[in-house]
Amino acid sequence: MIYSKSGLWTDAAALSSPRLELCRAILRRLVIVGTVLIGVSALTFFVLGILPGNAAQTLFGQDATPEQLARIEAELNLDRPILERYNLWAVEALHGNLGHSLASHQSATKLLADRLPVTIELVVLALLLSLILAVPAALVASRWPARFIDRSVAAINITTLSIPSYVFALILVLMFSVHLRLLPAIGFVPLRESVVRNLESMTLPALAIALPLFGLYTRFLRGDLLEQLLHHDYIVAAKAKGIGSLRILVRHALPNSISGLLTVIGVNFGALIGGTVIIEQIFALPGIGKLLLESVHARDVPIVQAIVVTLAAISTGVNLAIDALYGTIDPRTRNASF
Amino acid sequence: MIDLLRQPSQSAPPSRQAIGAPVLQVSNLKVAFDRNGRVETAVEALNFDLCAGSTLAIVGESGSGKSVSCRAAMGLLPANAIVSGSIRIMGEEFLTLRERERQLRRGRDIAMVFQNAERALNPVIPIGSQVAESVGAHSRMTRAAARRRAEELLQLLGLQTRRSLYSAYPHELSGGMRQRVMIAIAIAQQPKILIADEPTSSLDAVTQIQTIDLLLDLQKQFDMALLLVSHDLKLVAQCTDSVLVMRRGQMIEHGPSADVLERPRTDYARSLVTAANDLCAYLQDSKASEANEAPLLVAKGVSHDFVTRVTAGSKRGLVRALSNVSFELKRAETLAIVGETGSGKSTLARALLQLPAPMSGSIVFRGHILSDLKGRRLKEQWRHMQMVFQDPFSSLNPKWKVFDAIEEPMIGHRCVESSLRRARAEELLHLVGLPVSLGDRLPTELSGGQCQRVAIARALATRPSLVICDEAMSSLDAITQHHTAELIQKLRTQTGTAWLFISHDLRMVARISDRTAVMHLGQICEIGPTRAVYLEPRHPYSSALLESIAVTREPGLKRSPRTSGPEPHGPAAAPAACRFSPHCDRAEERCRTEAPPLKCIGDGHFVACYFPLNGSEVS
Amino acid sequence: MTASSRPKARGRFRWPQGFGVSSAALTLLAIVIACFLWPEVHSMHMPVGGNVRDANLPLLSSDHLLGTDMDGNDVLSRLLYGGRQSLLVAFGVNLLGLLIGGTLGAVAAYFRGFVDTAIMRTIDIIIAFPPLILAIAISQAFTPSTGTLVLALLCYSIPAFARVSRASTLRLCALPFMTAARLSATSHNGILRKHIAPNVLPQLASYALLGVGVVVVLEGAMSFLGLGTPPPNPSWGGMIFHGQSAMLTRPHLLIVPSVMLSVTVLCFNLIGEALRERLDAK
Repeated sequence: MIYSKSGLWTDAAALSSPRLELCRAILRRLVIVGTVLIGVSALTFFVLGILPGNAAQTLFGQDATPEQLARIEAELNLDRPILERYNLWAVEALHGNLGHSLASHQSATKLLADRLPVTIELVVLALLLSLILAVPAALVASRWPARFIDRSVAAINITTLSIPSYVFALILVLMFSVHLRLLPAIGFVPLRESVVRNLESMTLPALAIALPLFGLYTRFLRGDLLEQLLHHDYIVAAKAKGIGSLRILVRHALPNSISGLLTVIGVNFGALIGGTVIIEQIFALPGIGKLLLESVHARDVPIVQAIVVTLAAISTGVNLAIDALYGTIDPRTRNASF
Repeated sequence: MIDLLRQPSQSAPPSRQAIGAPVLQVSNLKVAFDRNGRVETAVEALNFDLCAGSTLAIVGESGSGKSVSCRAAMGLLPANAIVSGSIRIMGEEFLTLRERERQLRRGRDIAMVFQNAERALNPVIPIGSQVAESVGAHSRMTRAAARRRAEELLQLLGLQTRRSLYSAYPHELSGGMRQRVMIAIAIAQQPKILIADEPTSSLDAVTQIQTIDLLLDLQKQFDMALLLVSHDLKLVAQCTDSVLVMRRGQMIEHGPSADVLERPRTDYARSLVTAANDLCAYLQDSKASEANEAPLLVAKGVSHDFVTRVTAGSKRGLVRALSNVSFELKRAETLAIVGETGSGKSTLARALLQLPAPMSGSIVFRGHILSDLKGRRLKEQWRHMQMVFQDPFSSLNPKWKVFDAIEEPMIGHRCVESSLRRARAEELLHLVGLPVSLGDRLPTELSGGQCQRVAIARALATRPSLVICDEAMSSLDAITQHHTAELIQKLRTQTGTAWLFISHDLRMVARISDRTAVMHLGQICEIGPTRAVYLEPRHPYSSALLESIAVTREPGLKRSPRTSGPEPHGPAAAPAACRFSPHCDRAEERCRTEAPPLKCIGDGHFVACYFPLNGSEVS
Repeated sequence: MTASSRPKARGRFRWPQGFGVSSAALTLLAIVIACFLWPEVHSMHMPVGGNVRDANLPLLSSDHLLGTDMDGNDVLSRLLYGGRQSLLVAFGVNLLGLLIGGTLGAVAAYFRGFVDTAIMRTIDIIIAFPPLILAIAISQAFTPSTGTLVLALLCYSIPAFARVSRASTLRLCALPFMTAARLSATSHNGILRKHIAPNVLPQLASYALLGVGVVVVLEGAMSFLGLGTPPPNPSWGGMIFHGQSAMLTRPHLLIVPSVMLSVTVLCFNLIGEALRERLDAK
């Protein structure tokens, strides 16, 4: 029997079992994700397909011969109505064929597969760096609130989150590559070749993306921890047991902040991905962002399409994963059964 | 080992134990808070001694400084607190200690049970770990040893009966169980001083009695000094050695409990003691009802279910918020609906307004069947049925002036011409006892009591036939409640409106209602003239409820064992049964399968029970 | 024996009250005056159409306070006109986003049901795109111009405001005075205009201030990538981009617009945060 504070619940056998509910929830999420993906790809398709004529002309310039134009038209099925074109594209996409580059005729899927790992490495490194910096900073700031260290951390936070990642990137290059000659400015070394040099070449790019995020996360975390320290009774109760402040922060306050932090990470994930576009350009990293820019300037529509849809799908996927994580992290959203 | 599931103890005065040396000595304690430069005093010149093995109760209303004093004794005040005076724990001055040393003594020498266990337990850590943390806070125990000791404590407090609750989370437990966890945490290190800060105010009536008894038992078993803080003088004075009454930060009275109870020296203490006793004097004589007049509101068989919010992996639960509720309300009559949190009272209020419409049953208002009306028709009926809400500040739009708020119903229902609206608004302000100059102010500039009066004025703007007050006075402090209740008394006689009061505070509604209905978990247990229901409750639940507010006809009456423990001991009740049967020791098979209908047992007095109490039954 | 303890005065560090906000406001005012008023009042070189002969003049040359760039344009005037561009785009996008997005969100939350689901699904789809990617995709379809830039940025801004507005309105609808308004038979239109709007606007306004900072950064990013303000029109992002190549010899070409951009965003963030704290505290 489920028992709650006023005994308001009736027998558990009332409506359904936990397993059924879990299946239902997963199904519901998949439907939402599916809808979003369809919407995303459709939107991209229609937006990019508005001015198809330019594609051919930009590729071949003013002297495009009629044969070349005709070939492009055939490849992109430009003679068919737009809905049909989308249909064709979607069906192909589901089979893993995201189109072909207009310029090089390479498979979009292959291009993406080659470049994606670099971008993923960049994103993961940036996220790790930002969290490694943010959590201790927030803990220190809330351990001694309103003291000098706290005010400094707050000031640093709002400054770092105001400076865009591309500005950071260039300043970092100026400092570390030009003047101090510590780290390379450009020149990516794949992981397979050498881990150390790979990390060297990724440090500045990851740092450039991580610093604004560090400001954001620390500010949130510090605010959340302080709010708990000031207003929540379980902190006072923990103190009453005779536990020290640091342990209270780490054992009692921090676990409660995690779901909030996850939300902040999820909401800003788009900025994280967007950041990779510029950063890859600056540091000449062979990732998806750089590919996107190149394709945009070359008007290589199928590639642009493939990339945009993929990035949106990744963003959605990450948010979905975060939603799922809430369930495991916060026991209140889990099974209630006493 | 104490069997804590036995019947609650009788309310005899506690046996005098050997009173030892003072373990807690507070002298000239003064606490003030620095709020952005402004210094506000919370406690002034507090003096008391607490001796080993004895019990002291500190009683006062909210804002009297009792909680602040306790937290000062443990060094748990926020950073902006300014403390002066002396607090000696076991002979050692506490205030001059550094934080590190204070930390050593907390939990070990002096511990605290907090008021609201739901908020005082960390929601993401299992309760067993929280108890184990307290066990091992100051000693170098291995984790396994700490866990063993924690499980022993949980066992001691009756929390391990069916299955191990060690890895349960706070939200999975009931209020009474959570409070026991809090107590386990506090006694884990066997402190010499135990402070219980309002340990029962967030619990329901049935569990309050058990928790106080539990604290007293543990105090004896572990030979602790107990400092019990409460706002209920009657309740605690019966079970402690001495009492200290506080008001607005000052010590009003201090002495042995029996003395303070029987011979209070100050007016304030006297008012606290007599407030409970003289309840009977407040009770309304039942009004001679005009017979054969068509009732204003008839509710028949109203039922409403909620499907609880579903999350992945949790069971979908059906909450029967209202179960076959039926009652009548006559014109210009005042009916009080009382019950605890979760009894369905607010759901009933919303159902009457069709917000949302109840799933089954009928509500007939002024001759119209409300569920048949939609849109404009329903709005027309709302003109005659208005509501006053619980929180005065959020029942007014913070950006609107008072006049705008009062005139809104007049505009919407088109019942007053635009040129006459301001005059009517002023008339209403005058009616509720507010100066007309308040009309141009914003709600943020008014006090809680004033906002509530504006809400009442707004409700009366369209001259409704019925005003529903949903816990309208629960958010106000005691003095304001008193004034607002007086206002409503006045309005009852002046306007011909019928009033429906929904409240959990039985004392408050006793003086303003003609009839009272008692609800429990969605069912009406008893309904009848207020005097009859209060003085001669026939339903076991009503009786337990009234006892919990210490309304006894004769002082020292033995508490009858109507309830038998915080956990239901019988099989679970089928959805269509009497909701009180799991807790009731008169329950039989019939009660558990079929809900008893309301049966008339006297002059307008109905009871829904197969085995109602006889009025003179005592044990 | 008595003891006394004051709040730990020692070690407590406080900026003077409101230091951050007032200095931010003043700085912002200075920047706005510099970008919008100063060029009108004080005759300056034009930001475009410079003479190649004057190219690459160093800092603090006579007549060119910040020197000239490689096309011979005066850097200072490019800075100020560029600022004008960035700020105008940022203000415009946020204003439109607030009005359109705010209304959409409030309507969705108030009516619930199908309207809510339709609006929210559309917003979910748009929000699935990282903002910069979305802006790139949209501007790619057209020839770059300020108009298409604004359009592209609006596609991020409107859903963002709609979300905030919806959350705020949902919280509002749970309050008793909304029930009282329904019981007073106030029309839907009346409730939206007179109850919801005045209570939701302050929060949207603080969000808009933060949003200006965000859009300034986004506009800078787009211009940096060559997809925003079309050259040769000046913009901070474009200046930063071009400053890259001169990083070794003339770092000020990179540093000055970077600092301007960052300081502007910082000021908006400080003020927006302060406003939000004020509102939360109420």
